[in-house]
Amino acid sequence: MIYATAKRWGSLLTALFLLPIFFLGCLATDPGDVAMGKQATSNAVVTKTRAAKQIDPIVLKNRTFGEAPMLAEKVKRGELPPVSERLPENPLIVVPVDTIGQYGGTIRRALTGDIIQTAGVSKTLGEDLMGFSRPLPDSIEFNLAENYEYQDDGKTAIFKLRKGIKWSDGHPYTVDDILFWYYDMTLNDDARNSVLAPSVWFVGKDPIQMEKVDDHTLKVKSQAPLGRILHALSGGSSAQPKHIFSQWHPKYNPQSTYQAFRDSSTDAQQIMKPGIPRLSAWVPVEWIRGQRIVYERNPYYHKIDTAGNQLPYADRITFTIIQDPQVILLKFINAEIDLFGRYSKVSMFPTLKSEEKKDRFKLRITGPDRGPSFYINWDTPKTNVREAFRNLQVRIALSHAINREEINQIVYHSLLDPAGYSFNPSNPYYTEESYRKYSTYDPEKSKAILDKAGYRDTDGDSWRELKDGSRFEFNIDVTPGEGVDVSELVSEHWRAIGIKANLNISLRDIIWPRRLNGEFDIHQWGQEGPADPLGRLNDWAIMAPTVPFWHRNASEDGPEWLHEATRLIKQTLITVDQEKVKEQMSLVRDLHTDNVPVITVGSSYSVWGAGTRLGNVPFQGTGADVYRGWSRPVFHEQIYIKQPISPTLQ
Amino acid sequence: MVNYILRRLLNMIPTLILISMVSFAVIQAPPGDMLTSRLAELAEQGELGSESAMAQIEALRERYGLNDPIYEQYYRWISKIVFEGDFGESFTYEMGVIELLGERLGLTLMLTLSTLVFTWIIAIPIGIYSATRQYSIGDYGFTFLGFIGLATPNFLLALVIMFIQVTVFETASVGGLLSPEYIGSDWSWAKLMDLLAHIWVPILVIGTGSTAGVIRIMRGNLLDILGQQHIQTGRAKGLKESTVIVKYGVRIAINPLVSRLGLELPSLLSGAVVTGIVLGLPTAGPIFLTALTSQDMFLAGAFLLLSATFLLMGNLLADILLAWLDPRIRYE
Repeated sequence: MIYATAKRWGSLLTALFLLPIFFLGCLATDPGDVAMGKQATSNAVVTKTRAAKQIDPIVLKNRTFGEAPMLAEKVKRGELPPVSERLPENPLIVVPVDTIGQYGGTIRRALTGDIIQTAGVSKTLGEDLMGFSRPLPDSIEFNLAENYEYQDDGKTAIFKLRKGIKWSDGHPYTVDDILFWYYDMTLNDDARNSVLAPSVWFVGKDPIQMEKVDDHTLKVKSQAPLGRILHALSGGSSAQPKHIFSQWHPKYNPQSTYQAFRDSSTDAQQIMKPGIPRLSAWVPVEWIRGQRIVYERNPYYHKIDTAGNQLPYADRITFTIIQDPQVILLKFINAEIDLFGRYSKVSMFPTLKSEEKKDRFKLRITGPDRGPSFYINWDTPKTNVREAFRNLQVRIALSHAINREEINQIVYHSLLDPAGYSFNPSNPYYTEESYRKYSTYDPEKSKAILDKAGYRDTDGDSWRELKDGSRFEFNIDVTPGEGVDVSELVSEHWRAIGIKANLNISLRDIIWPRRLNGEFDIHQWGQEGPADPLGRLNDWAIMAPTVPFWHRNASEDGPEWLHEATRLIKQTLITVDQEKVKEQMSLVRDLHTDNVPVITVGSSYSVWGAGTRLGNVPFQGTGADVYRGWSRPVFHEQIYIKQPISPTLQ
Repeated sequence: MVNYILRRLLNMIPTLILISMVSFAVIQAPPGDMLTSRLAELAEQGELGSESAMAQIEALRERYGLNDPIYEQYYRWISKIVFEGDFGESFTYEMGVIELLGERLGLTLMLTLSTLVFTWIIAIPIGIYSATRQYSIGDYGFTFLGFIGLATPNFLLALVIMFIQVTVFETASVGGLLSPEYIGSDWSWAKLMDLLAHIWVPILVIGTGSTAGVIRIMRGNLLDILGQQHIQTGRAKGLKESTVIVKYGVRIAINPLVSRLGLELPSLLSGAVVTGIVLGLPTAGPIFLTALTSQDMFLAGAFLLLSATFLLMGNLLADILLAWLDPRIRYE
């Protein structure tokens, strides 16, 4: 009975099963043939703007600034002082990317978490004494400070703050706030949330000294020339409102404890908790844990556009918490989110490209930036493999054996720039020659090099042997993601020259401790710091006994060139003369590139997108290393909403 | 009966102690700990900076007492729970565990309870229909649909539904439980409507997975019962067919399902993990996954312990309920 029924319905059911498979083909079209205009971000590229490039001096003199309607109303009601009193004496003038914008509306963004993703917000909203030029980080400009000068051979630097900058509650911003942040928070072991003080403030063992000259003049002093002081003061937020935080600090309020202070000054509290005054363009007004953070404009923000309007244009910026990046992609396509860049992956490119036709957003390609790399462990527990890894010829051979163009086409949809282990185009000391060194695909050359170096296949099993007779075999540690695809292809390429590479694919939580303990053979990861090695010292130099992680014993056992590179880097940290810095960093570059300790596949472009309802979004936002990611160079404060909508959240 | 309940409650205690030890060991088992996890996450985001990772980890280990022997850490954890009711603080969320769960409890319970009700309301009538019209087209059809719902991974179904909503229906707000304008606002009729417009997706996705099981169990049990003699007697007495089926058949067939209810209790709290992540639901499930992947000791431990407690309580409640429903069952 059942058999009869099955016969009757079986064929129908089979057809029903197969039908959906035909439909799948209709879903996403593959834009793989779309010609990629690779806009290499050279330093000379400047966007054409329709706005005035200079501000009319009369506006500055008479202080006839424009302000947002929602603030103008508050001024009328007497809740806020007029805009000419809210702005500092010498506001920072911003030239908008495209045109002078309109006030109003909400910028909508997404995060995959709130407390665990504070960086997503701090990169967008951070304001420091200095800032990197946007969108291309080739110079450092003034931000909260309006002037600086070096004295005493670079061992002292004097910073002048803009007079008249106020916190978002109207309280004046002075050097006292900087000193509070520096001495009472960052250098105070009990008050600090991270256990170690950031090494950027130390020269050797001694901390850099900061002194107050007057309310608006800060003196920074050190034993050695302050080579990186500008960088140090342009990334984060080097001031906290003393008038608020001191109430929890035991030094100022003996009834409080350090534990209470630490709890109230965590990153998340500093960035997301409403009620604490800030200097950023927007300040938080609502935080529903795990769901959304809403920021509203800061009436005392210190920037204006070239027509004299106080920034930001948008009234609000919201961050919705969505745990799955695929869903963030979906919401971006659905125009529920305006900017999508922090979580965009190369694998999302086909979907984004095909949905772009609906004209609800425009894609931008930025980079090239950090790309996939294979970190060779010079201290791998396998001593026979270690001997081979330490041989320069082996590394050169491994590098030439990789078919980078194939990886580019298959995994990266043409968004990879094949290259070697060197400084990439966003680095001021980049050269094309060193960038491409050892990156040509030449498996015959690799085989010849390996034969000559003594790693031959002696038993005819198509695998080469190491010097002790065992097979030339090792493991590649890799975490799920694009790295797996790249590693599979590379392992095939290496098989073609007779080297056996096995993949060890595990969760990050298992791979990472192996990396830290030096238990791996090869660790696949994104290349750290090709645009700014000085920001990633631990991967390029022997800064401490167990560093770099790919050569833990380098301090005792490391090759001479690495020690030399370390000497040069340490020298650069205390050099102020830019010519000297260039010389030294070029030497560092050549030492690393010529000795190829890490095998890099290339630099990858990133894809990011902005909704068409936004105006003034730059096309060349970079994800450069100095920004530690994507959102800072998009500079949100001059983005405006093209159709101004009512202040209720949309 | 009361003796029975007391004995069961007493038996729960050694079970719970054992479970707490196993949970603690399981969380500690993978290499690394919440600190390496946190640092790996920072590194992935490019946030690691130039500080030596190892030095930071060591220093933090000291501060959090992670270098102490495991039984000491376990004793610290368990004594805080038992004597102070303090489940500790989550490292990843920087909040007390109870506070964190409490915030999400309301929506979680609402979602899981409605899913449970939905599943039962759909599955039981279908099960009854399948049993009474055995081997008909309807029977096969419903079984087929049920199995498709069971076989399709929930997260995939959720993504597909959301994708269709976006590309075909162009819904304004997909995922989550509320549209942006209603998050954090007071409850109103409009907010309730908005909630209903969103909640059908998770209920459908999670529900379709469980209906297949309930349908088959119901069908199987009822078929068994319908073959028995008291059904024939009922028909012979001249009762309506529906009364015979429901009052004489279903009432007995439903007992195993009631036992199953007890097993559903823990998933009320921590169920729908991956679906919750995909749909962006502000419920407790997604936190569970984050806690486990980042080896957040207190949060994950609390979850495991609570789930285990709920399971034991659920079983006890199911047994009591069964005793009340089925006169043939009596406990000593």
